[in-house]
Amino acid sequence: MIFVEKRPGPLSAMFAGEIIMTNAACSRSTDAASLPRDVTFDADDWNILARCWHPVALVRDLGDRPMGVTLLDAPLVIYRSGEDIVIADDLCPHRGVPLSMGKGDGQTVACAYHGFRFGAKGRCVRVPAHPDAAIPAKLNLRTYPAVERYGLIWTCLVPGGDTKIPPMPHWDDPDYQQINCPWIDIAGFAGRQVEGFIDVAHFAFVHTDTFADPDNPVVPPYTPRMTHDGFEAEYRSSVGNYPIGKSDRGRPGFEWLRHFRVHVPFVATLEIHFPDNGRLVIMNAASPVSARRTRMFAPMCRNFDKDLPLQDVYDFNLRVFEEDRALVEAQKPENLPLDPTLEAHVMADRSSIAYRRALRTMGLSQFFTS
Amino acid sequence: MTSFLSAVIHDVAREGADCIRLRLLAAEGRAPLPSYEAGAHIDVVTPAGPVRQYSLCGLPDAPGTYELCVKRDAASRGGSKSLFTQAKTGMGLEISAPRNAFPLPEASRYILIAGGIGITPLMAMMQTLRHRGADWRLYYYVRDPANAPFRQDLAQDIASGRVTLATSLRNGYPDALETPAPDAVVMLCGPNGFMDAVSSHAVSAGWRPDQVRREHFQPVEQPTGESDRPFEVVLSRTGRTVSVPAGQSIAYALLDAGIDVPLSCEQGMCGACVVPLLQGEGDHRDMILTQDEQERSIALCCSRARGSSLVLEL
Repeated sequence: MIFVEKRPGPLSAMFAGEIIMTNAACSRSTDAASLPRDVTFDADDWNILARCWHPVALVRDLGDRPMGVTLLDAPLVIYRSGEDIVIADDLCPHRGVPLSMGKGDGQTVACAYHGFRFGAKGRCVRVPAHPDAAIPAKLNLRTYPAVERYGLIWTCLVPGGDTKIPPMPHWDDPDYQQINCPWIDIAGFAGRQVEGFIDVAHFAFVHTDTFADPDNPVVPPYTPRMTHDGFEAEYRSSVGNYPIGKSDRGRPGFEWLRHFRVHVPFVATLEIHFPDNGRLVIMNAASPVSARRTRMFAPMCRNFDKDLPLQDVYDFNLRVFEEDRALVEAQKPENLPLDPTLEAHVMADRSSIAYRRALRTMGLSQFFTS
Repeated sequence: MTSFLSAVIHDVAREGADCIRLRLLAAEGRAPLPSYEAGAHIDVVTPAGPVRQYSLCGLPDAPGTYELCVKRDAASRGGSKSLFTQAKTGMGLEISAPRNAFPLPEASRYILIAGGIGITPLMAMMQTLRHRGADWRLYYYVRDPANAPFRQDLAQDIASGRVTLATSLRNGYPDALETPAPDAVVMLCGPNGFMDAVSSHAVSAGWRPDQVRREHFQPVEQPTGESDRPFEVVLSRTGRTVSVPAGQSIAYALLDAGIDVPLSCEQGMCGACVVPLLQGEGDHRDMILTQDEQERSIALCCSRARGSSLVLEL
């Protein structure tokens, strides 16, 4: 579909033509008032991304204190109100102080400036200066849905009904251990980070201190299959996944299967098939803080080595993602060029071509070509 | 991983109407060919140069011997065709070690479903399952059942009802799909459209998606140029006609004529050089356009014309 509709221009403008059409179609629905201050995204792209669900925090990190996070340039406050988690604009409606600077008690949060308190569903429940007066509705916070899944808190800035949180294979399987690594902040764009996660040609150059073999750079053929919200690819190679130096369990001749499932815009799972039916699933859930900052969450589950210390997993995961970080942060343009004429591609890049194609199909364009 | 094994063709036999069956052994003085399990395939450097993938169709227990079945494909870009026409006893071939993207899982019952030449890995599976005394059925869809490859090998099982031959899914899906069983598995190999149709039918009949296993490898087609015919492209905006000689891509013919073409991968996988196709039938060799898209678009770096000309929106 993306290649054939409404392509008016000359060859070089082919994808640009597509971009113009998409933006024209989207701009009618753009509500400028809803955009965050200092937005770093193109308005049309922001409106598309704001309709998607993104992770914003680890459930275990949220205590009684309000937590401030940023999603798509929008500052948000997250707090507990009894059993519920509330996500709201991080701004006291009274005089504009971030509520994340205030205090919480597990039921409500109090603004640091005048002590206004907010509780369930973001309702203002107390104005200390006038304890007996009625509280105007304008003091209620603008809230967003909060859903706990995979140990993460997910939200959507412009919810449209369905809670579209991508599936994670085996997470709910009782044979599997659930692990949530600490998040990692990256000074780069989420699309570049996700594309790094699904890239299979960089192992022999970037991950030689963790799991890969510098003498094994060749990428055997694989075929991505497009799905309704992205694509999947089963990548078979001889590159093992055991930590280097930690284990002699590598098996000569074992064919490693890495099953990638990508859900646009910024979530991918990787299911690694280990010897003896071992499985490790890693979800790369990239939260787009802004167009230049990403918070990477990584829930994992596995059906082996369940007795080993979790700290080892955290440390190994951090080392692997740190190896990627310097490269992702240095890539230019910072954004992800969705027009295939803008970068050079080789056969090993079939996954990244499929990823960019799926992003284009969402209607994303201008921002991504930077 | 990139190192090839030297093999030699031990014998060649006609198989069905339009296939040959090859038996390969290790070249003299070399270690015997490594063992494999049913479902495995190898890469073969064909006489024309391109590397093609073939499933191993023989009984995996036969030590050091690989059996392949090669179809003479009218649409072949020269790879399979060169192997089909040039293979003869004693000829050396460079091949890869076997890789298995389609292994047999543990199951209480196996339903094997083949479309056309997709029969090859299933032949190896069928023989393995027979040796194990497993419960299996084979459904084999083929345009011309009387001259189907392996028809002779299957004769007894056809008579006993374990193997069913049919010409088209239009005449019905395998009856075994109507009764999903939690511990059974469906092994599926054939053209993508065929596999898509069978697996969606199976899933709607109540099979879990993970019970339907498909062969993963797709032959990686690389244009060879050698066997390609010349044709012409007409550019709709200017009315200009450019000749595309055999052995040259549309993109390079256009560049030679001074027309700018944005190229990136030059292998038909990225879509940088895709343009609208207004008239003429494309011989599509890209890996990125869907079938629908190929009716209206063409990748200039690799695709050609089935007829004598194409009209491009340029």
